[in-house]
Amino acid sequence: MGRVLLETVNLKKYFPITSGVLNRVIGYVRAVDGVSLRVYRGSIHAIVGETGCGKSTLARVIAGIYEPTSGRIVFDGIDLSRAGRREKRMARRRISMVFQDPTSSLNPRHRVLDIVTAPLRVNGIGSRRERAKRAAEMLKMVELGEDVLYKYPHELSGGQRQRVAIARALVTEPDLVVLDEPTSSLDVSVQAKIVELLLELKKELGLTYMLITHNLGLAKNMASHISVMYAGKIVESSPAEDLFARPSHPYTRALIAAIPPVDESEEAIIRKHGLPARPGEPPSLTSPPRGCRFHPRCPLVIPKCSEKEPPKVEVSEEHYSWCWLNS
Amino acid sequence: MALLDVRNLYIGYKTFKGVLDVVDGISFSIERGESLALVGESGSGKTSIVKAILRSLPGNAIARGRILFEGLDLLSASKEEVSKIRGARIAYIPQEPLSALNQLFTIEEHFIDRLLLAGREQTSLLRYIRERRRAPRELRELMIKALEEARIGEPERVLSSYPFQLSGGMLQRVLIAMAVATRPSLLLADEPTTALDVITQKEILGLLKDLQREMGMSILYVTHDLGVARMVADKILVLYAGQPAELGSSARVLGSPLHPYTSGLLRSIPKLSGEPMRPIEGGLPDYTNPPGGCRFHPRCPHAMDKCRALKPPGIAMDERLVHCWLYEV
Repeated sequence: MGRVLLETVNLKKYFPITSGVLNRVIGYVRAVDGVSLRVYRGSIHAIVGETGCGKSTLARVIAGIYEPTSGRIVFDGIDLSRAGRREKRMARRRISMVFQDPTSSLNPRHRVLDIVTAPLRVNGIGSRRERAKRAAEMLKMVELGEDVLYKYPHELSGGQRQRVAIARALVTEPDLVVLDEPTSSLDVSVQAKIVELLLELKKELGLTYMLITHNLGLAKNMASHISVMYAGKIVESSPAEDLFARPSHPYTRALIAAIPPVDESEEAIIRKHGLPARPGEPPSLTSPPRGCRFHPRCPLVIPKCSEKEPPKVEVSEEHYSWCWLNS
Repeated sequence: MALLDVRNLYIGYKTFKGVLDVVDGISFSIERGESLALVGESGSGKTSIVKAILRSLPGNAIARGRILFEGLDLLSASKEEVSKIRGARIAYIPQEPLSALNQLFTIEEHFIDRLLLAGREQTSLLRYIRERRRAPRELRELMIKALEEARIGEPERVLSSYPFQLSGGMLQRVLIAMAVATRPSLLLADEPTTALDVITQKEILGLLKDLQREMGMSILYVTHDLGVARMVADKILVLYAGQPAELGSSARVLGSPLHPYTSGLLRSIPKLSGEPMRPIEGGLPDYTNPPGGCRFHPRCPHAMDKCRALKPPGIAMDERLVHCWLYEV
C-alpha cells in the first residue's frame, strides 16, 4: 500500500454554541467526532458524505484552517499537535487546499499574479521577480495563457478561475492537496476537464490528494480509497474498487440507492448494491443519537444499534465498516 | 390539444453590451399528465424559458414566439388573463426553498397568502385584511390536506413553524404542498432538488412523480442533472446555449443520444460504472455575439461547413427531433 503520508488519530472538532451576554457555552456542534484515517503517499483518498456530515470541517482541520479540539494529525512522521511553531509551519506549507467555489475563494480585487504568488509571499519565498516567474510557470502548468496573470477573477470563466485556484494551491510545491468539492460549482462539461487536469498534475508532480465530495460517481472515477462519513464519523473506509464491489455499511448502500442513474449499467449497479434508507433526515450534530448514528434511518437496524457504538470491523483486506451487523 | 405548446420562442436581454440572445428558437409541447425536462448547463436558457411561461421576465427582456397554455397565448395575453392562470392553474416550485420563504413568517402565514392571492392580479387592502382574518379557520383544512398530500407527517406542527426551523427537504415538501393546493394543471419545477442531498432528492422526486400521476398534472422540470431528468421525465429537451439540440422520450434521448452535444454531455459526467469522464473541449459562447449556424459547432468534433453557416432544423428520426446537420437526408 505504500507509505502513510497523513494519519489522523481520533480527530475531533467541536464548535461551541454560546448563549446570553456572558457567552456561556450551552453545547457543542460535533462536526468531526473521532475520525481516524490514513492517507497513503501518491493515493487519492475520497471523503464522501452528505451536507453537514463534517467532511468540509475535516478538510479544514487537516489543511490547518481550524485547530482540532482533540486528537492527532501526523503528517509525514511529524505530529502536528506536538510540533513546535517552526516545524509546524514548515509542515503546513506542504499541505494546501483547493476550495469549492473559485468565485469566493479568489480575492476579486487582486490580479491573478498576486493571487497565485500569495502563498510564496506569506512564506517569504523568493524575490518579487522569482515569484512572478514562478507564477507564469504555474499558469502554464494549469494550461492557462500568460496573459491571465494580469487579469482579475471576474474576467475569467468558472473553469479558468478553478485553474487559478489550483495553481495557487500548487505554487508552494505541496505533497498533499485537499480538494474540497473541486468541480461541483462548475458546469458539467467543464468538470471533466478539471478532473483530467488534476489527475495529470498528480502524476506529473507526484501529489497526494484528499478529495472531499458528495458525488460517489466522482469518487469512483478519481479515488483509490474512499471513506464514507455520516454525522461526524467515518462509517466505512475501503479501497475504491472493493467499496463498489462489496459495499458493507447500510449508509453507503443508502447513498448508492439514491443516485439517479444515467444509463443501464449504472442502474444495474444501483439495483445490485443499493438499499434505500428509511425516511428521515441526518441527525443534529449537537445531540447525535446514541449508539450508531445511522440507526434511526437504517433499514437493517437491530436493538444493539441504539445502545452501543458499533466497533470497527475489517470486512475484507483494508476494507473497514463500523456496523453491528458485521460483528 | 397539448396543455402547453411553446412555439419558436426567442428571448433576448437588452444590456449595455448589446442584446444577449439567450433563447433562440425553442419549440416543445407538453400533454396533460405528461412531464418534460429541459436539460442544459447554466446559461443554456432553461430558466429564461420558465420565466417567460410565468410572464415574469425582467423589464429588459424581449420575448417573441408563442406560449400557448390551454389555447391562450401567455406572451400576448393581457395581464389580467395571465394573473388568473398564474398561481392557480400554473404553479411553480423554486430552486432554493430557504430563500423562497420569508424567515419572519410562519409556514401558515405564507400558505394563507398563497391561497388568498392565487389567480388574482391584485386585491384591495381592506378586502385582503377582511379575508386574512377569516382565513386561518376557513383554509386550515385545505392546508392540512395539502401538506398531507406532500407526505408531511405532522402538518399541524409544520404550519406553525418558521422556515428556519425546518430542514431543506421538509421546506421543499412545504413548497410542493403550496404549489399543488390549487390543483394546477401545470407545475413548473426549476431545479427542485439541486439544493438537496441525494437521499432527500430521491424522496422529493418520488413525491413529484406520485403527485403527477395522482392528480393528472403535467410537470415541466428544469435540471442540469441527466440522471434526475431520466428518473422523472417522460420527455427530454436538451438545450445548448439557447438552441434546441434534441427532443424525445427520455429513454431514447439518454439511451441512444444522436446529437453530439447530448452524447458529449453523457460522456463528461462521472458514472458509478467507473467509465472515464471525457470532457467536451471549449466553453459556452458569448451571448452578445454567439457563433452563427449551430451554436455548438466550435466545440463539436463533427462540425462541417454547413454547421457554421446554417442553423440546423429539427430532423425527425428514431422517435425524436434532432437539430443536427449530421442527420440530414
